[in-house]
Amino acid sequence: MKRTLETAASASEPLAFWEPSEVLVRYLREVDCRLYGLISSEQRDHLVNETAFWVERGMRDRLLAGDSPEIAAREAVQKHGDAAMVAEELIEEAYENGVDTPMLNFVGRANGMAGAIFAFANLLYLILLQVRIYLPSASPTRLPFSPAVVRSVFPEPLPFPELSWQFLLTVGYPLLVPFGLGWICGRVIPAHAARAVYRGMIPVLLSAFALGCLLLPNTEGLLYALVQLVWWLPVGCLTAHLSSWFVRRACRRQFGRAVAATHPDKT
Amino acid sequence: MAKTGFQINAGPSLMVLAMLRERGRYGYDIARELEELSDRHLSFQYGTLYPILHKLEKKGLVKGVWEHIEGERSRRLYVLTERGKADVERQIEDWTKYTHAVQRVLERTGP
Repeated sequence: MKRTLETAASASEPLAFWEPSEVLVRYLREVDCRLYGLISSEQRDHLVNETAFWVERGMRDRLLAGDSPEIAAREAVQKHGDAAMVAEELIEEAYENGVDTPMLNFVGRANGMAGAIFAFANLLYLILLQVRIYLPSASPTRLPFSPAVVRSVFPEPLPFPELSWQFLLTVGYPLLVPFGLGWICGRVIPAHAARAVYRGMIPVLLSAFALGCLLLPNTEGLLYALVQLVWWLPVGCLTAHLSSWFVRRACRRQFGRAVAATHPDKT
Repeated sequence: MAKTGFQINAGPSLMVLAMLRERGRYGYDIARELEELSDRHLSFQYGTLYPILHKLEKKGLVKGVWEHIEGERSRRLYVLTERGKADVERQIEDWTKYTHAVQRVLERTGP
Protein backbone atom coordinates (compact mmCIF):
# COMPACT_ATOMS: atom_id res chain seq x y z
CA MET A 1 0.00 0.00 0.00
CA LYS A 2 1.28 3.42 -0.85
CA ARG A 3 1.79 5.79 2.03
CA THR A 4 1.38 9.50 1.89
CA LEU A 5 4.18 11.87 2.77
CA GLU A 6 2.26 13.09 5.78
CA THR A 7 2.07 9.66 7.36
CA ALA A 8 5.58 8.59 6.40
CA ALA A 9 7.43 11.68 7.48
CA SER A 10 8.71 10.56 10.81
CA ALA A 11 12.42 10.85 11.48
CA SER A 12 13.13 7.15 11.82
CA GLU A 13 11.17 5.97 8.85
CA PRO A 14 13.10 5.15 5.68
CA LEU A 15 12.45 7.02 2.49
CA ALA A 16 9.99 5.02 0.46
CA PHE A 17 7.74 5.28 -2.53
CA TRP A 18 5.36 7.77 -1.04
CA GLU A 19 2.32 8.92 -2.83
CA PRO A 20 4.02 11.71 -4.70
CA SER A 21 2.85 15.29 -4.66
CA GLU A 22 1.60 16.72 -7.94
CA VAL A 23 4.33 19.39 -7.78
CA LEU A 24 7.06 16.74 -7.57
CA VAL A 25 5.54 14.66 -10.31
CA ARG A 26 5.36 17.66 -12.62
CA TYR A 27 8.92 18.63 -11.79
CA LEU A 28 10.31 15.15 -12.38
CA ARG A 29 8.39 14.80 -15.60
CA GLU A 30 9.81 18.15 -16.73
CA VAL A 31 13.38 17.00 -15.98
CA ASP A 32 12.71 13.67 -17.67
CA CYS A 33 11.23 15.41 -20.69
CA ARG A 34 14.27 17.67 -21.04
CA LEU A 35 16.65 14.73 -20.87
CA TYR A 36 14.68 12.63 -23.34
CA GLY A 37 16.48 11.90 -26.59
CA LEU A 38 19.63 13.74 -25.58
CA ILE A 39 21.23 11.06 -23.42
CA SER A 40 20.90 7.29 -23.32
CA SER A 41 17.71 5.97 -21.78
CA GLU A 42 19.67 4.07 -19.13
CA GLN A 43 21.47 7.23 -18.06
CA ARG A 44 18.21 9.12 -18.14
CA ASP A 45 16.54 6.58 -15.86
CA HIS A 46 19.42 6.85 -13.39
CA LEU A 47 19.45 10.62 -13.40
CA VAL A 48 15.69 10.96 -13.02
CA ASN A 49 15.76 8.42 -10.21
CA GLU A 50 18.53 10.32 -8.46
CA THR A 51 16.70 13.60 -8.97
CA ALA A 52 13.55 12.04 -7.54
CA PHE A 53 15.51 10.85 -4.52
CA TRP A 54 16.85 14.36 -3.94
CA VAL A 55 13.55 16.18 -4.18
CA GLU A 56 11.72 13.58 -2.12
CA ARG A 57 14.37 13.82 0.57
CA GLY A 58 14.16 17.59 0.40
CA MET A 59 10.42 17.40 0.74
CA ARG A 60 10.65 15.03 3.68
CA ASP A 61 13.06 17.39 5.45
CA ARG A 62 10.64 20.27 4.95
CA LEU A 63 7.77 18.15 6.26
CA LEU A 64 9.80 17.26 9.33
CA ALA A 65 10.44 20.98 9.80
CA GLY A 66 6.68 21.44 9.98
CA ASP A 67 5.74 22.64 6.50
CA SER A 68 2.52 21.55 4.86
CA PRO A 69 2.91 18.98 2.04
CA GLU A 70 2.14 21.59 -0.60
CA ILE A 71 4.71 24.08 0.71
CA ALA A 72 7.26 21.32 1.39
CA ALA A 73 7.00 20.12 -2.21
CA ARG A 74 7.35 23.63 -3.59
CA GLU A 75 10.34 24.38 -1.35
CA ALA A 76 12.04 21.11 -2.28
CA VAL A 77 11.59 21.76 -5.97
CA GLN A 78 12.70 25.37 -5.66
CA LYS A 79 15.80 24.36 -3.75
CA HIS A 80 16.65 21.70 -6.28
CA GLY A 81 16.68 24.29 -9.03
CA ASP A 82 14.91 25.09 -12.23
CA ALA A 83 14.15 21.88 -14.17
CA ALA A 84 15.55 23.27 -17.41
CA MET A 85 18.82 24.31 -15.80
CA VAL A 86 19.20 21.07 -13.88
CA ALA A 87 18.57 19.07 -17.05
CA GLU A 88 21.08 21.21 -18.95
CA GLU A 89 23.76 20.52 -16.35
CA LEU A 90 23.02 16.81 -16.41
CA ILE A 91 23.08 16.62 -20.20
CA GLU A 92 26.33 18.54 -20.36
CA GLU A 93 27.91 16.33 -17.74
CA ALA A 94 26.75 13.15 -19.47
CA TYR A 95 28.02 14.40 -22.82
CA GLU A 96 31.38 15.57 -21.51
CA ASN A 97 31.94 12.27 -19.74
CA GLY A 98 30.94 10.25 -22.77
CA VAL A 99 34.55 10.03 -23.93
CA ASP A 100 37.73 9.61 -21.98
CA THR A 101 40.76 10.92 -23.83
CA PRO A 102 43.30 13.25 -22.20
CA MET A 103 42.94 15.83 -24.99
CA LEU A 104 39.14 16.02 -24.80
CA ASN A 105 39.23 15.93 -21.01
CA PHE A 106 41.45 18.98 -21.17
CA VAL A 107 39.56 21.11 -23.69
CA GLY A 108 36.09 19.66 -23.11
CA ARG A 109 34.29 17.41 -25.56
CA ALA A 110 31.82 20.07 -26.71
CA ASN A 111 34.51 22.71 -27.18
CA GLY A 112 36.72 20.22 -28.99
CA MET A 113 33.87 19.17 -31.26
CA ALA A 114 32.91 22.76 -32.16
CA GLY A 115 36.55 23.72 -32.64
CA ALA A 116 37.15 20.72 -34.90
CA ILE A 117 34.08 21.51 -37.03
CA PHE A 118 35.12 25.13 -37.52
CA ALA A 119 38.77 24.23 -38.06
CA PHE A 120 37.76 21.70 -40.72
CA ALA A 121 35.70 24.39 -42.47
CA ASN A 122 38.74 26.65 -42.33
CA LEU A 123 40.91 23.98 -43.87
CA LEU A 124 38.35 23.45 -46.60
CA TYR A 125 38.38 27.14 -47.35
CA LEU A 126 42.16 27.12 -47.67
CA ILE A 127 41.77 24.33 -50.23
CA LEU A 128 39.13 26.38 -52.07
CA LEU A 129 41.54 29.28 -52.16
CA GLN A 130 44.04 27.04 -53.90
CA VAL A 131 41.42 26.45 -56.57
CA ARG A 132 40.99 30.19 -56.86
CA ILE A 133 44.73 30.70 -57.17
CA TYR A 134 45.58 27.83 -59.51
CA LEU A 135 42.38 27.81 -61.54
CA PRO A 136 41.65 31.50 -62.11
CA SER A 137 38.70 32.67 -64.15
CA ALA A 138 39.77 32.87 -67.79
CA SER A 139 36.94 35.15 -68.84
CA PRO A 140 37.46 38.93 -68.75
CA THR A 141 35.87 40.83 -65.90
CA ARG A 142 32.63 42.37 -67.13
CA LEU A 143 30.91 44.79 -64.83
CA PRO A 144 28.47 47.57 -65.66
CA PHE A 145 30.69 50.06 -63.79
CA SER A 146 34.26 51.17 -64.19
CA PRO A 147 36.85 49.68 -61.81
CA ALA A 148 37.18 53.06 -60.08
CA VAL A 149 33.45 53.18 -59.32
CA VAL A 150 33.47 49.57 -58.15
CA ARG A 151 36.44 50.24 -55.91
CA SER A 152 34.69 53.21 -54.33
CA VAL A 153 31.97 50.80 -53.20
CA PHE A 154 34.25 47.82 -52.45
CA PRO A 155 37.47 49.43 -51.18
CA GLU A 156 40.68 47.51 -50.52
CA PRO A 157 41.21 44.99 -49.01
CA LEU A 158 37.79 43.71 -50.13
CA PRO A 159 38.15 41.50 -53.21
CA PHE A 160 37.34 43.01 -56.56
CA PRO A 161 33.97 41.58 -57.60
CA GLU A 162 33.77 39.26 -60.59
CA LEU A 163 30.99 37.26 -62.10
CA SER A 164 32.75 33.90 -62.07
CA TRP A 165 32.04 30.71 -60.18
CA GLN A 166 35.49 30.89 -58.60
CA PHE A 167 34.76 34.32 -57.16
CA LEU A 168 31.26 33.40 -55.99
CA LEU A 169 32.59 30.25 -54.35
CA THR A 170 35.44 31.92 -52.50
CA VAL A 171 33.29 34.84 -51.33
CA GLY A 172 30.05 32.94 -50.83
CA TYR A 173 31.65 30.17 -48.79
CA PRO A 174 32.85 32.32 -45.85
CA LEU A 175 29.54 34.19 -45.85
CA LEU A 176 27.28 31.14 -45.81
CA VAL A 177 29.29 28.48 -44.05
CA PRO A 178 28.83 29.69 -40.44
CA PHE A 179 25.08 29.03 -40.76
CA GLY A 180 25.74 25.42 -41.66
CA LEU A 181 28.48 24.94 -39.10
CA GLY A 182 26.43 26.45 -36.29
CA TRP A 183 23.51 24.27 -37.29
CA ILE A 184 25.65 21.14 -37.18
CA CYS A 185 27.11 22.13 -33.79
CA GLY A 186 23.63 22.68 -32.37
CA ARG A 187 22.66 19.19 -33.46
CA VAL A 188 25.72 17.29 -32.29
CA ILE A 189 26.37 19.17 -29.04
CA PRO A 190 23.40 18.57 -26.74
CA ALA A 191 24.09 21.26 -24.12
CA HIS A 192 25.40 24.82 -24.27
CA ALA A 193 26.07 24.54 -27.99
CA ALA A 194 26.50 28.30 -28.49
CA ARG A 195 29.03 28.48 -25.67
CA ALA A 196 30.93 25.54 -27.16
CA VAL A 197 31.05 27.30 -30.53
CA TYR A 198 32.37 30.44 -28.87
CA ARG A 199 35.05 28.52 -26.98
CA GLY A 200 35.89 26.25 -29.87
CA MET A 201 36.33 29.19 -32.21
CA ILE A 202 38.85 31.00 -30.03
CA PRO A 203 41.86 28.91 -31.14
CA VAL A 204 40.55 28.96 -34.73
CA LEU A 205 40.39 32.76 -34.63
CA LEU A 206 43.81 33.08 -33.04
CA SER A 207 45.35 30.89 -35.71
CA ALA A 208 43.54 32.86 -38.44
CA PHE A 209 44.91 36.14 -37.09
CA ALA A 210 48.38 34.64 -36.72
CA LEU A 211 48.25 33.42 -40.33
CA GLY A 212 46.92 36.83 -41.42
CA CYS A 213 49.87 38.55 -39.75
CA LEU A 214 52.30 36.18 -41.46
CA LEU A 215 50.82 37.08 -44.84
CA LEU A 216 51.36 40.83 -44.37
CA PRO A 217 51.76 43.11 -46.29
CA ASN A 218 49.00 41.21 -48.14
CA THR A 219 45.92 42.03 -46.08
CA GLU A 220 43.61 39.28 -47.36
CA GLY A 221 44.61 36.96 -44.54
CA LEU A 222 43.72 39.49 -41.88
CA LEU A 223 40.50 40.31 -43.69
CA TYR A 224 39.55 36.65 -43.58
CA ALA A 225 40.37 36.53 -39.86
CA LEU A 226 38.20 39.61 -39.33
CA VAL A 227 35.34 37.99 -41.25
CA GLN A 228 35.60 35.04 -38.90
CA LEU A 229 35.57 37.29 -35.87
CA VAL A 230 32.67 39.53 -36.81
CA TRP A 231 30.64 37.09 -38.93
CA TRP A 232 31.48 33.44 -38.24
CA LEU A 233 31.59 33.81 -34.48
CA PRO A 234 28.22 35.56 -33.88
CA VAL A 235 26.39 33.74 -36.68
CA GLY A 236 27.86 30.40 -35.60
CA CYS A 237 26.84 30.93 -31.97
CA LEU A 238 23.36 32.13 -32.86
CA THR A 239 22.70 29.33 -35.32
CA ALA A 240 24.03 26.74 -32.88
CA HIS A 241 21.68 28.08 -30.23
CA LEU A 242 18.70 28.01 -32.60
CA SER A 243 19.56 24.56 -33.90
CA SER A 244 19.93 23.24 -30.36
CA TRP A 245 16.58 24.79 -29.46
CA PHE A 246 14.90 23.03 -32.38
CA VAL A 247 16.48 19.72 -31.39
CA ARG A 248 15.21 20.09 -27.84
CA ARG A 249 11.76 21.02 -29.01
CA ALA A 250 11.66 17.94 -31.23
CA CYS A 251 12.82 15.76 -28.32
CA ARG A 252 10.18 17.24 -26.00
CA ARG A 253 7.48 16.57 -28.58
CA GLN A 254 8.75 13.04 -29.01
CA PHE A 255 8.63 12.62 -25.24
CA GLY A 256 5.04 13.88 -25.21
CA ARG A 257 4.11 11.36 -27.88
CA ALA A 258 5.90 8.55 -26.02
CA VAL A 259 4.07 9.42 -22.79
CA ALA A 260 0.77 9.68 -24.64
CA ALA A 261 1.33 6.25 -26.17
CA THR A 262 2.20 4.54 -22.88
CA HIS A 263 0.13 6.54 -20.36
CA PRO A 264 -2.80 8.22 -22.15
CA ASP A 265 -4.12 9.51 -18.79
CA LYS A 266 -0.95 11.57 -18.13
CA THR A 267 -1.11 13.75 -21.20
CA MET B 1 50.64 26.99 -4.59
CA ALA B 2 53.23 25.31 -6.72
CA LYS B 3 55.02 24.09 -3.60
CA THR B 4 51.97 22.28 -2.27
CA GLY B 5 50.53 21.33 -5.65
CA PHE B 6 47.27 22.78 -4.42
CA GLN B 7 44.69 24.08 -6.85
CA ILE B 8 42.54 26.92 -5.58
CA ASN B 9 39.41 25.59 -7.33
CA ALA B 10 39.78 22.23 -5.62
CA GLY B 11 37.79 23.42 -2.58
CA PRO B 12 34.38 21.89 -3.45
CA SER B 13 35.92 18.54 -4.44
CA LEU B 14 37.95 18.48 -1.26
CA MET B 15 34.89 19.15 0.88
CA VAL B 16 33.02 16.33 -0.84
CA LEU B 17 35.94 13.94 -0.36
CA ALA B 18 36.25 14.98 3.28
CA MET B 19 32.55 14.30 3.81
CA LEU B 20 33.04 10.76 2.58
CA ARG B 21 36.01 10.00 4.85
CA GLU B 22 33.84 8.83 7.70
CA ARG B 23 31.35 6.74 5.71
CA GLY B 24 29.56 6.49 2.39
CA ARG B 25 26.82 9.02 1.76
CA TYR B 26 24.05 9.77 -0.69
CA GLY B 27 24.41 12.85 -2.84
CA TYR B 28 21.54 14.60 -1.11
CA ASP B 29 23.07 13.97 2.31
CA ILE B 30 26.43 15.33 1.17
CA ALA B 31 24.78 18.53 -0.04
CA ARG B 32 22.66 18.96 3.08
CA GLU B 33 25.49 18.25 5.51
CA LEU B 34 27.87 20.56 3.67
CA GLU B 35 25.28 23.28 3.96
CA GLU B 36 24.80 22.66 7.67
CA LEU B 37 28.51 22.35 8.46
CA SER B 38 29.22 25.62 6.68
CA ASP B 39 26.52 27.39 8.71
CA ARG B 40 24.55 27.74 5.47
CA HIS B 41 27.26 29.85 3.82
CA LEU B 42 27.70 27.20 1.16
CA SER B 43 24.88 25.74 -0.85
CA PHE B 44 25.21 22.75 -3.15
CA GLN B 45 22.44 21.86 -5.53
CA TYR B 46 22.16 18.67 -7.50
CA GLY B 47 23.34 20.39 -10.66
CA THR B 48 26.48 21.56 -8.83
CA LEU B 49 27.26 18.48 -6.83
CA TYR B 50 26.60 15.89 -9.52
CA PRO B 51 29.45 17.06 -11.81
CA ILE B 52 31.85 17.12 -8.84
CA LEU B 53 30.93 13.58 -7.84
CA HIS B 54 31.16 12.44 -11.42
CA LYS B 55 34.64 13.93 -11.84
CA LEU B 56 35.80 12.31 -8.62
CA GLU B 57 34.36 9.03 -9.81
CA LYS B 58 36.16 9.38 -13.11
CA LYS B 59 39.43 10.03 -11.31
CA GLY B 60 38.87 6.87 -9.30
CA LEU B 61 38.69 8.67 -5.96
CA VAL B 62 35.02 7.94 -5.34
CA LYS B 63 32.84 5.01 -6.22
CA GLY B 64 29.10 5.34 -6.75
CA VAL B 65 27.01 2.28 -6.01
CA TRP B 66 23.33 2.00 -6.88
CA GLU B 67 21.22 0.80 -4.00
CA HIS B 68 18.00 -0.92 -4.94
CA ILE B 69 15.92 -1.54 -1.85
CA GLU B 70 12.48 -3.00 -2.29
CA GLY B 71 9.75 -0.47 -1.75
CA GLU B 72 12.19 2.44 -1.74
CA ARG B 73 13.52 4.78 -4.35
CA SER B 74 16.78 3.62 -5.97
CA ARG B 75 19.62 5.84 -4.86
CA ARG B 76 23.33 6.13 -5.38
CA LEU B 77 25.65 5.73 -2.46
CA TYR B 78 29.06 7.34 -2.81
CA VAL B 79 32.07 5.86 -1.02
CA LEU B 80 35.76 6.70 -1.05
CA THR B 81 38.03 4.27 -2.86
CA GLU B 82 41.42 3.29 -1.42
CA ARG B 83 43.01 5.81 -3.76
CA GLY B 84 40.51 8.41 -2.64
CA LYS B 85 41.32 7.78 1.01
CA ALA B 86 45.02 8.41 0.38
CA ASP B 87 44.33 11.39 -1.86
CA VAL B 88 42.01 13.17 0.55
CA GLU B 89 44.64 13.14 3.31
CA ARG B 90 47.19 14.66 0.97
CA GLN B 91 44.71 17.26 -0.26
CA ILE B 92 43.76 18.24 3.28
CA GLU B 93 47.42 18.67 4.11
CA ASP B 94 47.92 20.85 1.03
CA TRP B 95 44.84 22.85 1.84
CA THR B 96 45.98 23.46 5.41
CA LYS B 97 49.39 24.62 4.23
CA TYR B 98 47.76 26.88 1.67
CA THR B 99 45.28 28.51 4.05
CA HIS B 100 48.00 29.03 6.68
CA ALA B 101 50.20 30.67 4.06
CA VAL B 102 47.37 32.98 2.95
CA GLN B 103 46.57 33.78 6.56
CA ARG B 104 50.20 34.69 7.28
CA VAL B 105 50.30 36.98 4.25
CA LEU B 106 47.06 38.68 5.30
CA GLU B 107 48.31 39.19 8.86
CA ARG B 108 51.61 40.63 7.74
CA THR B 109 50.11 43.03 5.21
CA GLY B 110 47.49 44.45 7.59
CA PRO B 111 47.39 48.16 8.54
